[in-house]
Amino acid sequence: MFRTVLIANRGEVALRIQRACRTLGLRTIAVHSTEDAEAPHVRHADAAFCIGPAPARRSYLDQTAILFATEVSGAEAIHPGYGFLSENAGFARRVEAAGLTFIGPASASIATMGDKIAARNAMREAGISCVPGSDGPLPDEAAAAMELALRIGYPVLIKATAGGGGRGMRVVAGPSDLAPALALTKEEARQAFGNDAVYLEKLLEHPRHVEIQVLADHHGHAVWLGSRDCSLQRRHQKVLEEAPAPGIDEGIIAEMGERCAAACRRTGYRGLGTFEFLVEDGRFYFIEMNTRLQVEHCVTEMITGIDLVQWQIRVAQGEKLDLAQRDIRCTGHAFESRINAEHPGTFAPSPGRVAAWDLPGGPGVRVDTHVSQGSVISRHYDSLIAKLVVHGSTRADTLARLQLALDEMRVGGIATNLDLHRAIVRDPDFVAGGVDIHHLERRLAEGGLR
Amino acid sequence: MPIAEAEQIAAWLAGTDIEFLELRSADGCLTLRRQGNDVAISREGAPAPQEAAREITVTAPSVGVFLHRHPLRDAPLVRPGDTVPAGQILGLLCIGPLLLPVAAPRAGTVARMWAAHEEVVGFGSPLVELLATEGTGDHGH
Repeated sequence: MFRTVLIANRGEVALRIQRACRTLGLRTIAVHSTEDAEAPHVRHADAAFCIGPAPARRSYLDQTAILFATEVSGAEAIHPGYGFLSENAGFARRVEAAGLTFIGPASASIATMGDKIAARNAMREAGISCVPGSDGPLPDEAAAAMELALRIGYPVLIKATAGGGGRGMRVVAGPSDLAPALALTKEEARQAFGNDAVYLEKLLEHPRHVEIQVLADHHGHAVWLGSRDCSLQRRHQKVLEEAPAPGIDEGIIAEMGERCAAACRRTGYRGLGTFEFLVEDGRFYFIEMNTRLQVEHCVTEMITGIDLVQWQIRVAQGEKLDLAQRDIRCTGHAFESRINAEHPGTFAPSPGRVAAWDLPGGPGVRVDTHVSQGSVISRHYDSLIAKLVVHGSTRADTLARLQLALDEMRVGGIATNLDLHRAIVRDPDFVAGGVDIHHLERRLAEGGLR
Repeated sequence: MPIAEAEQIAAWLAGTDIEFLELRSADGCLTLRRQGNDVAISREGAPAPQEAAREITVTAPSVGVFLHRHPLRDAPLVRPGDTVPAGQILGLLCIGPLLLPVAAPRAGTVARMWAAHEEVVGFGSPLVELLATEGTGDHGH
């Protein structure tokens, strides 16, 4: 049972974790770079240690520096937050080896989920389906590929195993195109990557990104805490999230939720976790599991009324989860706008001094931030400056609250994406609900949302 | 870097959405910063050679508990007024079972101890003030 927690992070999440620790009567230790010496997470901690210079790799990512600070401060547990070292199995292992508590799952769970193929296999064993495909390199004979493609259904995607980031991929619309496409992709892969291995996967044309939050303890109990929709993304970065995922049958969500909780019980997973899915035509396909607290956890807190970070710490202390699945009720709707210091149009970071800072208020409005007037936004770290979270009784009511809150918020001295958010919440398709993961980029490419 | 090359990089930068570029080398630091459609170039020479600065503040390389003396000894490793060669151990940083030596980067005289014995320090905390011996060009590290 630990009494002192070292928070190996900065920004709004460091403050969020500090608050959870305080409500549990735990001491908090902050670590910081020279750049963050005046940061609020440093000022509010019970003790703070400078661990390195501004670049994250020499401070917030420096495992040894963090372990040294833990030793000197007498902390017994480390909370990694999100980003930085939160999903680094090697770091979690070092924390465990030092006899400390890593507030998160066991290092072995992080390692399994970090390996795409191992994660898919673990999910399949738990009865959770993945995007259908060849589950490994295709054999050389085209006949085998033909049979597989027919079974999973066209259109399919041929991908070079050595490719990535959109390179070495080809869409196949129907059976007559498969053999030539296969030959061409293999030849291209041989030339581009020196490796002609390819695999086949079902092409999802208009999927949504839906995720299920889970919470598990050390005693074999696990619950799921509703769904979130994070389809509004740009370059795989989430921009605006909501809970629950609109327009999906509650029965299907409950069935998926149960399977996720069962997978946690089966694998001995503990702590907070998120199962991410692509959802198309009412079907869920597992993509990956995040073995940490997520940026968008707040929308789940709003609809469930449960303090996720507090529970994450309590289960790490070995406490039994006294929440039964039937006690978890999702009420109303919630949105989270990620406000970033970035230039509209180019999306380039906009570091600098915050000259004006007016926050919105009113019923159901929550702002998680580490920024205030006069703060300096560093070029060394993530550009997230605030999470504007809004809760209401229905999706429409909540969206009206979000529109108002975004209009009330004012940031001066640096550029932000506030105008983008203001445009998104008035976009007819978004207002209707259920847009796919390509919607935001498609709108931006059309010159919309300006 | 010759000025022509810096201007070429500035021209490339103007066509991108990069706001700020910093190039560091042994010769100094070149900074390119976008201001609207223009790119401002500023350069600083290499830091003045250490010989010029007589007062040297030795800072902590890590979090730790600063010790003036080894835990098994009674006498301090150095005292103000002591003359020390480069590389001489001035104090120790205690991190759990680890003892990290803090060495003099140059030969000189110990002017004062900034951090008290058993004081908890962080990265960059001033530990010892050295007055470098003039004319010696040797560098510890």
